[in-house]
Amino acid sequence: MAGRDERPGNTGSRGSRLLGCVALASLVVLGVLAFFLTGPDVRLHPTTGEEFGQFDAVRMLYLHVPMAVLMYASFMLCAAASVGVLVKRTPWWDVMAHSTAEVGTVLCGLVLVTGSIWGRPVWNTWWEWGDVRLMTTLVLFLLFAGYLALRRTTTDPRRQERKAAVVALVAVLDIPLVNRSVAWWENRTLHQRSTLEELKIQDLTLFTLMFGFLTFGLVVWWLTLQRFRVGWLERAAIDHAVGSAIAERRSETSADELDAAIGVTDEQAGEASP
Amino acid sequence: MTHLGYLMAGWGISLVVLGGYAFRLVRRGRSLSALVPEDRRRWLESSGTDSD
Amino acid sequence: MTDDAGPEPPSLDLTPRPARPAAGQRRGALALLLLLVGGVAFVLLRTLGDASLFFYDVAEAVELRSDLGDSRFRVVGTPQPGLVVTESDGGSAVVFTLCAGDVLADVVHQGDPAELFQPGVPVVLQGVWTAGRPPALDGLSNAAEDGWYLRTDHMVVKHDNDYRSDGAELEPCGAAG
Repeated sequence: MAGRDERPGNTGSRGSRLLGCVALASLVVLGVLAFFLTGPDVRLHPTTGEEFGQFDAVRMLYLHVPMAVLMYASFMLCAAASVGVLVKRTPWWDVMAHSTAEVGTVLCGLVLVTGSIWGRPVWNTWWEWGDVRLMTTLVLFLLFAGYLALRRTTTDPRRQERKAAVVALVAVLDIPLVNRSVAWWENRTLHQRSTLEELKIQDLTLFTLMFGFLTFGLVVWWLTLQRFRVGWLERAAIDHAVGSAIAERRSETSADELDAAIGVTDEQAGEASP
Repeated sequence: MTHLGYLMAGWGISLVVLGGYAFRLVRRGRSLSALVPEDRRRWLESSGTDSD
Repeated sequence: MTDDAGPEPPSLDLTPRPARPAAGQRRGALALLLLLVGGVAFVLLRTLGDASLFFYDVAEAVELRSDLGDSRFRVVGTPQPGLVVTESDGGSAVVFTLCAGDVLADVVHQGDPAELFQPGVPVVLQGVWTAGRPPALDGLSNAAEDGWYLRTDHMVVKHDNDYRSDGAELEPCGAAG
């Protein structure tokens, strides 16, 4: 329809718009839970009897931890899609790998920033060089930033897809190191061990953290969906541009030139005519 | 509330970055969509029902 | 082209070729890639190459005192109740006793302590062993008093992973335990 073609398109569908609205509403609810309904982390010390804890800095937990878990999920999906790239060699897998890597890298950067901001009041430091959890996370960020840089060395995403898939599969090996570092090298990291594994969290604090996982799950789902569609469009735009250029070139070329280009002689052309 | 500045910075930066990234994706999607025929935007419903 | 064009090789190549980015853009992306590889190498060297980043607990630090000599190291332990704020080397200092299990070590920490520093909450300190009697030792209720103290200038709090309102499973140590 000509009328529809004249309007600018977008990457939205009815489903993704609904998903985006639900994600936004969830973010608002998470903010209310995190800042107004949950209390600060204040406990009484069993031996000194004094109040201790993270106090209100704990409210960063509802943001930092879900983003970290969703970062793992994005990079794991990227690794799975990269296997798909190497085995299946279809565009779907490559666009999925690229999309999840980009979303995961954004999350990884935010995990580093929010962790640093939380660390200043709670640990008394913005950053600790040598801390294994911090360093392995920084390496993960740099590896996936490298993945994205590699993909930018060409305008056609197909040119680097196999190399990028290998980089992603190597980079993802860092995830177990990041996740287990707090248990494996406890005397080389300030970061506390997993709270959820030992279930040292309860009531509304636990509910809010779980709600944070749900909220950021929706946000990441929406972002990945949009990024996938952008990636799909990038390829389609290249294909369409090439196809249009060929068609245009053909339209500028006379039938005789085309015949000459494909090696058809005048006699053959005459015989073929009705 | 203790540590309010840190909380505002952490939440603020995260929401601004995620919002900015989302905005950039939507805008890039719009500009690319204009270059591609509708039948290549496979997530769209049939042209009769799509509300784009 | 006219009708008398012979069967020469065609000059019209219709094979689609993927677009290549401008040389400047390609060089920029490659430079970024190299920078990132360098960043990873730097981080790994920084993490693996500095032995002072390893935390000893108080018992290990006391046991290895002669081996550690003048070198800076990190030690993790729990400050005992009873802190003294005093002057040392022209600046303010906090004097306290650090413990792990039943092993004690006296500490003189130069500069401001961490915001959440308090007795009973573990800290990681960086500094050196110093022979002698620390200042204001008499103000401490349960000092080690072994002729040595830790002179530290970097303090970070090692927070626990408990978020329960009644959760305080901190390991007791020294006299406080």
